[in-house]
Amino acid sequence: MTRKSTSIAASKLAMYAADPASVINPKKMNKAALRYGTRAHSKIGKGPSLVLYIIIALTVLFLAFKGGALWK
Amino acid sequence: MIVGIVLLLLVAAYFFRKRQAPNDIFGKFGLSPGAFTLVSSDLGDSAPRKMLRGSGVAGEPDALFSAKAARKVVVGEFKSRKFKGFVRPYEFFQTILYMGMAKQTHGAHDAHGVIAYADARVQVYFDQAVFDAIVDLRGEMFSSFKERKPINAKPLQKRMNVLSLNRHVRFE
Repeated sequence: MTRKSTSIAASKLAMYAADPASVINPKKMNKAALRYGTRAHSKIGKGPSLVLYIIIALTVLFLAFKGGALWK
Repeated sequence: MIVGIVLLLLVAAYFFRKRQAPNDIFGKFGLSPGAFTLVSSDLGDSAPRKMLRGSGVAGEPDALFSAKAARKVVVGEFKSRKFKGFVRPYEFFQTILYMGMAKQTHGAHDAHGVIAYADARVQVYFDQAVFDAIVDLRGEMFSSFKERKPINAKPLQKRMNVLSLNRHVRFE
């Protein structure tokens, strides 16, 4: 019979090493700080928004179609 | 004619920015895209994500780079807080863990860590003794969960000198 080994999350083990009590009896997380951190993480290396570029392109086409002063 | 040029410029700008996106990650950790390859990252959406496993521990660093000219890996951890002159023990241990796991996974001779804060960067040198000590806490952690209280409430930084190879690091 093979026994599956249990992997532990690196972040949890690091937290245990730094403060054992904080992992066994965790305190409530600050939700606002957590949201801020997640947003800051996703901002780095984020590619351009395709939707934004499509909206700009459609606006350009609309202005051209309407024949605004910009295009004359 | 003008419309065509504007649309063409828009397409070019979009693809240029898309191509440049991973460079933001290199910049955050003070690395050059010419000297390193971005192996994985969970920052943004411009790089693939890869889980590291080893010594019964699993995790995904914010960014993992591999040197082009040497068998060296660099682990990047991003913290959105301001540096304020100190590193939290948790941040330090997490980086050391990822460095050890990356070293094992990629068969690298050398591992280096960078903790990037909103306003500063801290270099972390790999310490095998600290890595082994953290991994050794695995069993104690399972026992503590079973007992529903810490078997030993003393943090690792008070059990041993964890900064012997990282004397420039100051804890909170």
